[in-house]
Amino acid sequence: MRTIAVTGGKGGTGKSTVALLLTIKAINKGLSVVVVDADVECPNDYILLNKTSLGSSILEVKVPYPKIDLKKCNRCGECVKLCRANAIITKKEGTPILQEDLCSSCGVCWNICPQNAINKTEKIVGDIYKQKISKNLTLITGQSYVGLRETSSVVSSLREYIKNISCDLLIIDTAAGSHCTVMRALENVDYAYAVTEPTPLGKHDLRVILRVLKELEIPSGIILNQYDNGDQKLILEIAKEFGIDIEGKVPYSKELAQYYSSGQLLDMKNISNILEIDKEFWL
Amino acid sequence: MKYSIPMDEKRKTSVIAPILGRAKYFAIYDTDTKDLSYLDNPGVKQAKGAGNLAAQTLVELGIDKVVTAHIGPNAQNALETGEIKIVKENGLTLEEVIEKYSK
Repeated sequence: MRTIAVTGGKGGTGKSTVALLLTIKAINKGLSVVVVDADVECPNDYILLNKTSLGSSILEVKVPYPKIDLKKCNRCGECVKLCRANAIITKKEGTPILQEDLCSSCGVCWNICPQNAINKTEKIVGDIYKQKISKNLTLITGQSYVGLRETSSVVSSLREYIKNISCDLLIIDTAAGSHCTVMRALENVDYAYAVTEPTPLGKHDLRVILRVLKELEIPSGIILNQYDNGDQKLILEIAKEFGIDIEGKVPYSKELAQYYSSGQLLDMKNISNILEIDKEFWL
Repeated sequence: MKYSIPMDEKRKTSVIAPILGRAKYFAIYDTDTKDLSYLDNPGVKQAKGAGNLAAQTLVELGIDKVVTAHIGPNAQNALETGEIKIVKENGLTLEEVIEKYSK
């Protein structure tokens, strides 16, 4: 089983489209594919695959979480001083108050409290969903709760869950950006495609994600979306800078956009050919 | 009464900082003793929770009132929790604030 990630830095550049085009290519060659939607703050691969909802949660994502026992607390202030997220504030006389949304579950407070007044409890921060789309295609989606700041825990749970999955090809569709949530999705994949578009912003964000991929030592290639709708030289410069290739291209296509926006990508005829890719090493 | 005013420069003629949480310094002014001092804002270098740390610092100093142009939701919550009053003043210099609130 091979695991490839589709990422790219810039939002709206075509990561999900390319992930699904790769999926369709692989299915058409007879592979069994599992797509993992790791854009947990706004997963939408299910919509592109013509599902109207995510169905029932198969797993709740839980993170450890502090609870302050004010009866045991002697207002020493150690937790306030050591919390790196600055999530604990105090009243005038020193009573500690946890500001939930800032806590990153690091565990310092419940480990250092001299009075053992901070208990480790659990908080549910998201869900994992699994949907059978067709005979050879399964979609696994992570979704974080609205307003959650630290969403990488949901991706970690997704990664943990897919360890036990068997298929020919696992495609992880990451969120935009280059933050923890994206890095968690990229860790230990066999290969990563960085999707971009031939625009100055596409160039800028591509450089950022390629630096992350280099740091994580993940072999990678570029897929250029809407390659005929801008200046390819911008992206060729970056490819040269990082010593990697533009391995795939998708043209600007009104038809593709129409199938995309109506959730009918799987039904588009000749769709397999719209993504031209050099090395189909994952076949 | 102890006042705190967020500042980006340690100068009485400078306009007060645009926002509390990320201001470089806090001017601390005591209306009884007329003492003025400056304190580095530890919130400046924080990845997150800057407002909380900035406000918590003022709570621990026993500040009674903060004069600021703007305040983020975290800092506001933390100051209110610490029973520090918040006054909004936009565009005044530090000496103008001191003069206005010394009366």
